[in-house]
Amino acid sequence: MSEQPVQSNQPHPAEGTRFDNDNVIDFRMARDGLASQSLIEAQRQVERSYGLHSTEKYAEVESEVVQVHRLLIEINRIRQERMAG
Amino acid sequence: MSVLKKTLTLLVGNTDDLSYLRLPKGKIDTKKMSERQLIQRESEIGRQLFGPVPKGHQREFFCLDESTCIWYESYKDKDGKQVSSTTRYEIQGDKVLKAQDGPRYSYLEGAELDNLLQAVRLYYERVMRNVYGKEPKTIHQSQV
Repeated sequence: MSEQPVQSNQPHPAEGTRFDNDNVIDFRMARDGLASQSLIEAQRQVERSYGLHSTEKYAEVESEVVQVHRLLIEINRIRQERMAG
Repeated sequence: MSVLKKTLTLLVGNTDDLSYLRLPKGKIDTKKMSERQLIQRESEIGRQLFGPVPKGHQREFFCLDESTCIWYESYKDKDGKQVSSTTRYEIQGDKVLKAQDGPRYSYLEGAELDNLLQAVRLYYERVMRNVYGKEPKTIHQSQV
């Protein structure tokens, strides 16, 4: 990789993944080893391993709100289609 | 005998009972409905998501636009006075703002947030099936 890994242990609230590049690799390995579990569960496990307990609930809520927002967008799209005939 | 019936007779033999060709009960042709009418249909489903509506209460719950849900509740109190309240839930990024009469504003958290998110998921599934006759998309956590 040409880019230098970002060296920061601080969680970044604006990003979905709060790991530096090295940790992202560890995260993916953990995720692959946890195929039967959800991505969120895998993320939790990695967060625990890095002592990021404080962000655990935040990450879950963030993703669920975004999911639900997509559902509302979908309903509105279908509604607009029906109104247009 | 219509052409359709003749064709069906050739294909399936018996055309005495064609009820299976009708739309399932509860589904209606929504192609000529206005937005207001569609929202009313959606709200008929939405109001049932939070349990039975108490006798004498009027409840509405519907998705107003891409980021807003509305809860409306109206009833008469013990003195016979009409009481009504409207709550607007507005998705703002990764948070949900709750706006009530007053005005009072707060961001949802804890069980209240979980319950609203679950209600909207149910609303989506039931509205897609029963109002628009579409199979809802399955959204998994891992797709986030």
